[in-house]
Amino acid sequence: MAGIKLKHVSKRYDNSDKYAVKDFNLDIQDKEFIVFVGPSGCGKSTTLRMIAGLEEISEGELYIGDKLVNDVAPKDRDIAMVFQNYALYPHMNVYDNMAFGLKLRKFKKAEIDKRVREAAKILGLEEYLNRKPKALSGGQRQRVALGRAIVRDPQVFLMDEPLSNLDAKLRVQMRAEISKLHQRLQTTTIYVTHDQTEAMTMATRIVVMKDGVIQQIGTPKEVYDQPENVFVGGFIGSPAMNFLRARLEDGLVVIGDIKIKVPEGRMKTLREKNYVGKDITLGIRPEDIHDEPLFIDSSKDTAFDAVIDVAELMGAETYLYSTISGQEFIARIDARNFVTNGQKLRLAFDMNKAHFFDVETEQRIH
Amino acid sequence: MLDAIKALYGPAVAEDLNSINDPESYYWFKTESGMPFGIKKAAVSEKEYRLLTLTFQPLTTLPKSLTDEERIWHECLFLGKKNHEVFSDGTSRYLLHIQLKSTLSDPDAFREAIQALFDQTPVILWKNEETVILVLLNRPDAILAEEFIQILATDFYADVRLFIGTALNGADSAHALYTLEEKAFALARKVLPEKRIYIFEKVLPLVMLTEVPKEIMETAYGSLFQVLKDGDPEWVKSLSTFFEHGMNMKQAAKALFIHRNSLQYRLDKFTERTGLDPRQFDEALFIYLGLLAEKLL
Repeated sequence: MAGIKLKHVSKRYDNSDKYAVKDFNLDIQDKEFIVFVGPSGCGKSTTLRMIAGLEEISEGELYIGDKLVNDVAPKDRDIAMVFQNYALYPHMNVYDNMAFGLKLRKFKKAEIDKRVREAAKILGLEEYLNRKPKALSGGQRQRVALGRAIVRDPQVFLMDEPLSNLDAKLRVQMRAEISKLHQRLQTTTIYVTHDQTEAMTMATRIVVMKDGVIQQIGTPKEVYDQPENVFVGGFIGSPAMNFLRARLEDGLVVIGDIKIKVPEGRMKTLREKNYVGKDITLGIRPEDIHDEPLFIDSSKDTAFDAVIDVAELMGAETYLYSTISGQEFIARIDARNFVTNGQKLRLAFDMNKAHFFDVETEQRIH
Repeated sequence: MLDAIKALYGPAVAEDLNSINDPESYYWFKTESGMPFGIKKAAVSEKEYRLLTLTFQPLTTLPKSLTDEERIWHECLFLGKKNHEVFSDGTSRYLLHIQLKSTLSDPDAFREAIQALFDQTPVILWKNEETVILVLLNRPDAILAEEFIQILATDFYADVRLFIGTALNGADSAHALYTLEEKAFALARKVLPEKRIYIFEKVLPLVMLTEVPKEIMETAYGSLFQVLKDGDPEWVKSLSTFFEHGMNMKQAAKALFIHRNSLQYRLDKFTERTGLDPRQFDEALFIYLGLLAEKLL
């Protein structure tokens, strides 16, 4: 097992002056489950491919364990990869699919057999070893793909969107299976996804990326509770964080003609940073907007009236789509409070959980 | 350098590893540009061999004798021999060009992998140690190509670029089409290095643009280039993604991870500024070629 260190790693393609990945710095601890998350084209897969050795590193240093591996061939980095498209041989059975990589590395037959059967046992594939991939479900195929990686017993697993081909239900199931597998094998894992839910539920730490640049590194809770900028706030969480353009007065945020009180603790920082009298971006998560009378009674100076344009019943909760001074927002409330389209409702922001961002830089105001 | 070797060893030199019946009786090397050549062992003294290994890199894997089918295709594609036998069944063939970044350690395992991947075993032609051509009965789609790349990465730790060719319908045009595809593939790798899969129809406009004088491209596209340089930095990415997804707003917005209305807004702003509407086919074609031209200039 090994940790991985990326020091000022950048990637620029030969004919381009634009960076695909820029100044990437990360220290991955041994046994960690790190998730790179971000929209398509943000550089997460390119970073993974640089770690694998499939892309050259234009600038910076990459260490696996204590060894600088910039110039080490991919096959000598002791890594195993799992991809979105399973990467299985349709005309080999499950056993041969799992054994092929070991055969290539000239493992002895008995050792191959031992490793394949062990991996099949871990993944619940024992009874499918003679089947061809075509005769397996999507989830089983992805398990075979995992098995092909596990049999190598590598120092690091690199997974590139491994669940993206599965339907929503199976994705939830496989997500849990991969987490369990990591707990059991304790192998350092780097997992790339565009799905923030996968990132939140699986990672020990998340690396949020955009346009080739790291936006934030932190535990899922840190990234969710204290997003460093508007992008992270909007990307992590579903439904997404609401962003409202507001003006800051002493003790208040003013959204159009609605005034919302800011707790003194939060106000102190904003005052110190000279934001009073200036425009700011107020971020508020849908679950931090309340309709319960008890909350509104205790938080009268953050309450306002809203007309609900659409109320979407999701089962245990309801999403309310509305506007405040012409700016759209979504609230997530308990489904037991029955709300209909067009209904007038008193709502209140939990300003202790509100986020404040600079309008120009879009960075969090600390 | 190779010319000097040919002058020294004459007919004992073989430049085409696939045209030799007994490759084991040759010493095989590659030139600086990676092109293989062999010299008959009988023509080389021990001292000369040592000198040759200091000058040229020996091939890590010896070329194998070709099967009859491979030889026919080799002659047809690489040497331009019009052997109509290969198309006698009246069926089209498709070429999958594979460019490896480094030499594969085990070409036999590669063959095994290919056989286990495709429904009908393709003809496998090694142009050199890093270039392989597969002759296929069915045209591979982008998903199969992606899977192929992932298999090569997973098992062989190989970084590859693929080019999916167009239909070959007869021996008369096979060599010319192969040559055109080879040229298109090389150009695409240079101009679009971040991509791993190239498709003939998508790359061909790029090849055609290389035939257009630079001045004409600059005159025709000067103002568009300026707008793209000065305007919203998201325009190039938005337009490229919009075209890549068949001008489908919903799919392009999804790929860009933005709301459909946001993409609509961006394209509207672009139209406002340029008078060009990327949602109209002829205007889209003009913009598309402009985006490609910009990469060439």
